[in-house]
Amino acid sequence: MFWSSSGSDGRDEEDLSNMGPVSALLLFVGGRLAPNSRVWREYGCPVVHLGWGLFVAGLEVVGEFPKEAAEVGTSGIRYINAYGLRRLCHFDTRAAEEILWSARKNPEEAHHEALRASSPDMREYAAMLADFAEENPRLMAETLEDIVEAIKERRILYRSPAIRYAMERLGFLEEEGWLKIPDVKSWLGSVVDGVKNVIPIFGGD
Amino acid sequence: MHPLLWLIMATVCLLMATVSFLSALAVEGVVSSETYFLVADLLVCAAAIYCGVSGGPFTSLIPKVGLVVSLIAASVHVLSTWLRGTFKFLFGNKSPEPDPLHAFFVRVLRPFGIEGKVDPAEVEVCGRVLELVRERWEG
Repeated sequence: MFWSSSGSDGRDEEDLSNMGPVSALLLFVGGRLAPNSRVWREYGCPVVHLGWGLFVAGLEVVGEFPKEAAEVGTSGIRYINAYGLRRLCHFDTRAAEEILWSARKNPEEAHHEALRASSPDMREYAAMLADFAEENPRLMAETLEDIVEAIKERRILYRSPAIRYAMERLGFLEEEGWLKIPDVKSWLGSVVDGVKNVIPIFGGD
Repeated sequence: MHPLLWLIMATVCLLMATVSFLSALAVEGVVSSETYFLVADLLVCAAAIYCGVSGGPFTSLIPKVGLVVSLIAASVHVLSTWLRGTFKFLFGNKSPEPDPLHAFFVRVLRPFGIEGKVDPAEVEVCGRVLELVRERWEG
């Protein structure tokens, strides 16, 4: 297994403290797809697994998990439980909610609990991510940064208030004032999408 | 208010509150603050129906006025829960927390091949993250 070097543009920081927040972001973004099980299987589930693997590896390598990350990550896990998709996961999502929450205060114990709640495959995956982070901290930091950059595109943030909320909460975006034009835009967009969905003659898919 | 109208409102509200209550219990698995409100709604509706059917055991006007006011409050709460759930079912959930009624609708309709709506922008985000990781990770 081998991580190809990303087009390095002079970034040389080896800061892995983002592992917790990025894992929470992935759990949230993946969990949000739970209302549609077909889409979830294809996109949401692999992203959630990556998020959980990073969370477990992050607890081992970095040993901390911020409160904001616990809030955002738990919210993502709640989607999986609410929409009844927990059997498709390689970890116990019922226990995960509590583990994420307890990781803020006691990361070491949460790490043991997280390993216990994971399947053998997931444990192996998390160990591999932890090894990788320890051996190549620079590549791992770059990958984390690129994941955030991929999500942080302006168009995505305009269209999904939920993702914008998570990014703001995790400190990847600066919070805006109370008057948010994008909210109005996204609301109008959702009404148009909804009309298209309900009345197929208007070009719904 | 006409007694029959009162009874009809209480019965409809009771049925809708029951479904909301069951969905909150089935989906959340725990009793949250929303579930407490639904329990209160159920009790108010049941009391209103009992008073309507039995001819009203209250002799004073104040408890009757109180019951009508709380029934109206319960109807507004249950109706807003349903409207919110239906709106989210049609347009997708924009709030960061899952909605119990929406989740309940989706789970009931899933065996019939009807799935809930997800934001295409969020599907794109997940696709992009997976692509990025696959690109970095070879072998």
